[in-house]
Amino acid sequence: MGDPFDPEDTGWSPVSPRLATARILIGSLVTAVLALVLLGGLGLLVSLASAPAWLLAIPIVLGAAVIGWLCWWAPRNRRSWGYRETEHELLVRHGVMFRRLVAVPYGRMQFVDVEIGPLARRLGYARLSLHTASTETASVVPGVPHDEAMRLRVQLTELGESRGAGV
Amino acid sequence: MSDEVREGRRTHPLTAVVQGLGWSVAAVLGLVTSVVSGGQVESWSLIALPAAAVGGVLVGSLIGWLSWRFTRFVIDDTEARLDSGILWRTSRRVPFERLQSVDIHEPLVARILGLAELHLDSAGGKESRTTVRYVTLAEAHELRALLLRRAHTPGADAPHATGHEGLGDGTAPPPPPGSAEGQLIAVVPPSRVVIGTLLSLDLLAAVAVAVGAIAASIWFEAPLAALGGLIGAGSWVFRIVADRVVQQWGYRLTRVEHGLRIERGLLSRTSETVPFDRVQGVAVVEPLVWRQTGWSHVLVSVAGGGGGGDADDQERAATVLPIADPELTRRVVDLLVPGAVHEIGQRAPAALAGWPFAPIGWRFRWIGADEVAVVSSTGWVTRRTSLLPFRKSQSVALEQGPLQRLLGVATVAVHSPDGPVQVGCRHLDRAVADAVADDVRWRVRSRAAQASMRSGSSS
Repeated sequence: MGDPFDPEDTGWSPVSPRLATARILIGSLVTAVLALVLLGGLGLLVSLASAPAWLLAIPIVLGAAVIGWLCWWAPRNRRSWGYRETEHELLVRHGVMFRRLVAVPYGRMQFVDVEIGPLARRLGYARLSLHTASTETASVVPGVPHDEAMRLRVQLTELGESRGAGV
Repeated sequence: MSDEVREGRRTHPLTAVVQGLGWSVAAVLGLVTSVVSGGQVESWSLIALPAAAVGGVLVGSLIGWLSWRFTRFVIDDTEARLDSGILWRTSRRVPFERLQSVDIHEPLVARILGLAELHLDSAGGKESRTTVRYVTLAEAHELRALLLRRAHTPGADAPHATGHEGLGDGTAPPPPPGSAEGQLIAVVPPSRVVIGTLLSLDLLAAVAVAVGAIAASIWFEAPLAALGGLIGAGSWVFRIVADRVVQQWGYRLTRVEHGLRIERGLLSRTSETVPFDRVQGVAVVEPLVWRQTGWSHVLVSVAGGGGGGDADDQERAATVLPIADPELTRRVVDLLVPGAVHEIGQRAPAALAGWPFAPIGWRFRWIGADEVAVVSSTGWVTRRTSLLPFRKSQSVALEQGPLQRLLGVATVAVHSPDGPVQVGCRHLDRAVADAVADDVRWRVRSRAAQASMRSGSSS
């Protein structure tokens, strides 16, 4: 199989780039809200308790740093997600810093969930989760394009039934 | 007997009394704690305590008697049913196909009166347990035999059913014919259990803490500190003794038709069955001091057994042998995982490069596989060797964090349902980790292929 984490390996199906978009959007929103709250609190301190004015710069700088990091991290992480259907298993890999590869035999899949949140619905992707008898499997693929997720779910369920060796 | 059973038999009338006693104990304890926390022992409490005890028995017995009148237990052709409830009727049904095991439990008070309760476990394990309280002990054994017969051979009612077919796909062979109650495998004498507990590190630690507390209080002349330390260490010791000695007193392991039967308990006695096909894996635990004498402690992961209770409860619930010598351990592991090799030749050890993660422990980690199971071992204070049969393994994962990448190591984990069996090896050399993961996946595939060929050709 070669190096399973090899980024150049083309055998892996990628997930939708919209996943990164969604993460940046939500992350930025949350950061902005938190920064505003902090700004408001510090503003009160500055105006009422005459704290130094440069304090106001802290939430702005921090917020910008977090958003900047998010814009760097989200596409990188998105690119690291990949899945691959082999004859007997579904392989899922992800992660840049903390890498993980899980091989789930079709016969061990108990059920397959497809979750679509409101933002995911707009952006056209879904989150696929696989469940086996073990809670450690924790195999989740976010950002799978809609149709692909539906196809996978049907396919995996059928394969699971036909290969099911049971627990 | 079968007619009576079909109509719905009652549990034993003394059920009410047992429940009444339970209430009275609760009432007395509640009163005592309130008096103690109140700080003063008033004169009325001398009257109130016996009154609470007697009142509790009366009230509890009355309620118990009422609910006893409305409780029926039925065993018919397809299911066992427990109907109960005075105002709100509840009917719990256990179809025979879903019945996994029937355990007999004698709580202390019931045991004194000669009664027992039946636990019917179906596929969900402990969460879906139906309890029949209380019947006489002899009845409990009869009912268990009847239920298990109905569960495993649908339609059979003959008390002398013979001709058990063995399952040829690697499950353990049936017991020798003519053995009614099964074949005795081991009796673990209480003395062995006591010695084993005395030689365990956590007991020694608890005792050391207690002694240290006393010594510190003498040195610093603060007797109250000793009290605090003693109570803490004392309750720790008490807990260890309760779990390991009292619960495992009089331990008998018997091989019955579809699994292993475990009988244990000093105050309350339990007779439970571990069905072979529900065993997900076996863990052999060898604590430091026990390794000198070769003793080990054998646990299993049972499907549906994970979750519920804390880690200690789960460990106790999964114990197959509380303390055993190497030969007995080998025999029981052979029964639970037939075909497993005892000394794995080809082992992949954890890499030297991974030493920063576990400076001493890395030397004692390895993972290997034989024909039927993947085996891994870890730990130098307490060595834990886990066996996971391929037909029970779920997914395989390969993980690598940034520090691991720097050192050129990775972790392999073979997933199985929750329980004491955790198979995998951390910080293997990267190339070795890849090879191990590929190997395990290949073996799982080929076992699955063999199994489907066999079932395809036999059907």
